[in-house]
Amino acid sequence: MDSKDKQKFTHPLIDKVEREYLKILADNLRNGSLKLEEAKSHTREFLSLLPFSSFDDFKKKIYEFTLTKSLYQRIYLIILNYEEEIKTKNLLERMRALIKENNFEEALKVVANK
Amino acid sequence: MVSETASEIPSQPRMSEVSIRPSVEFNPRLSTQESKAADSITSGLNSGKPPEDIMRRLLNQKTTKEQNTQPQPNTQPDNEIQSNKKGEAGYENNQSDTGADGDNNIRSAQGQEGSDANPNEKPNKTEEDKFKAAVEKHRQKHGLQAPNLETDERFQKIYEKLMNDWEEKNKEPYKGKDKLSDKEQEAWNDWAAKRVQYRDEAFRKAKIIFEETHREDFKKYEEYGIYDSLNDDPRFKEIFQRNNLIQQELAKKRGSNLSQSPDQIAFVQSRDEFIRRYPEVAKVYAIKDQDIARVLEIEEKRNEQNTQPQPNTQPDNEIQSNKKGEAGYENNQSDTGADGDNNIRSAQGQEGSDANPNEKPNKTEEDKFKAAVEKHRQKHGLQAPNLETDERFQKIYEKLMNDWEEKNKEPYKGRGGLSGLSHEEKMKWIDWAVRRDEYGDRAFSEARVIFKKTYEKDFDKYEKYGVYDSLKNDPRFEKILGRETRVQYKLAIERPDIFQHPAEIAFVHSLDEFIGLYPEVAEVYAIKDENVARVLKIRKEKNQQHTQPQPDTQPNEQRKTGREDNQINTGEDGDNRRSGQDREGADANSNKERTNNEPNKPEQETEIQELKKQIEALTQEIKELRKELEQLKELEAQAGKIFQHLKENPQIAKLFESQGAGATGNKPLESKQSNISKLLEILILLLLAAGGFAVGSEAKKT
Repeated sequence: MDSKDKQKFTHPLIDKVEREYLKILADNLRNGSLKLEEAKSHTREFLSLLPFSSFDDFKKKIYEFTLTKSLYQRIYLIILNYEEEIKTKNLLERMRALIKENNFEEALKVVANK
Repeated sequence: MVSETASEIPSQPRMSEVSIRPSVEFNPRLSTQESKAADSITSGLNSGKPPEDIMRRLLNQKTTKEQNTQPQPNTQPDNEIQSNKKGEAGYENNQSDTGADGDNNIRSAQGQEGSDANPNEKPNKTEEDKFKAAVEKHRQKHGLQAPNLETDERFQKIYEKLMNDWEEKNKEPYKGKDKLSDKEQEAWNDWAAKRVQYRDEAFRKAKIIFEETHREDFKKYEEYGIYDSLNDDPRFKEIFQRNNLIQQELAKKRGSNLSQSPDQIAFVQSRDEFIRRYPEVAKVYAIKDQDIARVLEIEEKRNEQNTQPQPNTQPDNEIQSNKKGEAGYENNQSDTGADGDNNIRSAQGQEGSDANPNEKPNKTEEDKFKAAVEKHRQKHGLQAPNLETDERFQKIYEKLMNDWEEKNKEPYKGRGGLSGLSHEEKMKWIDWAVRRDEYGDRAFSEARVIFKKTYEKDFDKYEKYGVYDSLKNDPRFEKILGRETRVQYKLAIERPDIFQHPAEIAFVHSLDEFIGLYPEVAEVYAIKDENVARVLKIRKEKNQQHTQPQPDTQPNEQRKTGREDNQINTGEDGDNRRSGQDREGADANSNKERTNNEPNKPEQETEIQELKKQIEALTQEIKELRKELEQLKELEAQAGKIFQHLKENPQIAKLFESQGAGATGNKPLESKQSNISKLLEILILLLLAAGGFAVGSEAKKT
């Protein structure tokens, strides 16, 4: 378990989130909302979050990062959106499995509970 | 959520919002170091570099503070302000990273090109040489001592003196001392920071002194001063700052817009305004800025066209002269940021400037389009391609706006722009500008009503035959699309399993409807719009099938009035005769049936349309259900195979036996068919749930 935790968690979503972070940074540098010194400080902080050990770790760190810096809230929303998609997919998988087993009652329960 | 999104689709066309993205977005008062950092991030992102590398590169960028704390041997003003002779180090070479506003203003037309510009925009060497030559020619032509005020030696001397005076009063601490203690370093940093602050003030003071002492030259610089690019031009920055503030405020009031961000709108508006206000300067920038070149070319052509004689459908005294050089409506109004401005577009004057580059037709197509617009205009006796470009309409609108401005005077007018105002004053000015903008929307609608009353025939003609620079910029299409989008989104919410891709469906429906309603206009758009051309072709083919010899159920007279000469054979002509309001509710599809029958009443049309939609929906549903059934059969088959495979395992077989014959896989497939209906029920629930999530996600994204 420990060795697993130490492993670097890689996922295309991280790249997406990092790019979004940079986009926000560039936009705010341009419109004068952010000074270069602040941008550097935020980036330093962001880089200190790396690497992520798991999806939960990734989500938690980004949540904490955006909690104090509402400017970057959008990147946390990206993770939430992704999570929702995954949840939907998992639900469908479960449903599919139950249907395969002809366990319609359970399948219905899964939908109803959702 | 989705319904909210749908309701955000503007019913009024906002044409200037459909425009190209600003190549460089910036805050005009922004210091160079932030701008450079932002550019560096953007170019890194565009080049596909790993984000972490971009972040590390950002960390390596030196800030003003970091630079100031490093040994600085050259802090003397002597080194700062250099003469402007070619080849010598320019002022900005020493100052570009200080972050002071003054730095942004102090630009050398010769020495600065592309220093912090988007690398994609950087012109090649030949263009740069041409630009330099044009700057020199322009300077001589207008009798300027330097390309711009900031590079004028006299101005630099004033500025230099101000800085020297300041330094006389505020001596540099520990001057000449090699090593400073922490405390001394801190004191020195304070002094350097104050000095940077004073630079802005000195710059403003120098400007005022120069204006007082060299009034004529100051005026010339104001009018003809030239910098290394539009983005470096302080006049443009001032215009952009103003427009951006207005657009940001409007965006807050109106809520987010689906198509464009406020700064993008402000950028395009500001560029257009700059070109109109400083055409000679814009011509020089155009040498290395293709966007400006294109807009200029369009403006020129529009002016040329306006000077050509047009068919006279109105009394002489109504038609105003439109000589080149005269300030047209658009020239005076473009900076209001109002919707009216967005609507006031020229079919000739707008194409390409804010169109999607992917949709941009090639030169020949554009020429063909322009020629077709002109032919179409003449054919239908229109004074301009569309209502919004009709001078009479523009004059009405202009008058309404002028009246409003008479009653609501611009605060702080003549105070030298926004930069000269305090924060409170700025807010007051913005409030005024926003009110003016809001009135612009109302004035636009009002101008339409007045025009309709005064020139009823012409108004109807514009309603039927007005042409814009493209289909998507046509307000009639925008209206249809807005309505259809709302309908499709509503359907998508109700039945997400059936009605997917509402935006795409809405577009196709709207396109079809538009072509049905305005076939002649569509023919013109088809020249440069493949989608229109394709749908037109399909409709023509369908129509040809319809017009094969068939029993004649229509009275002769009706047939005569049902079609106009030269109109394409779509069979929807009857619609063209209706007013704009009627058209909105009309349905193109239902028109097809009308060719050989009695014309339908609007209620019947709506009914037919509704029925058609229902049939479509049901067909779609059946298709989906069939697909699902197929999938279920496949699943069943797979399950059967797995069960057979499991049965081969003696332990499992034993287990099955112990549980009796109730194991699911034992049942023949036929007996399970009864479950299919149950399965379908689950699947539909499942799809609804999945659709619900998807819609939720989409809405969040929006």
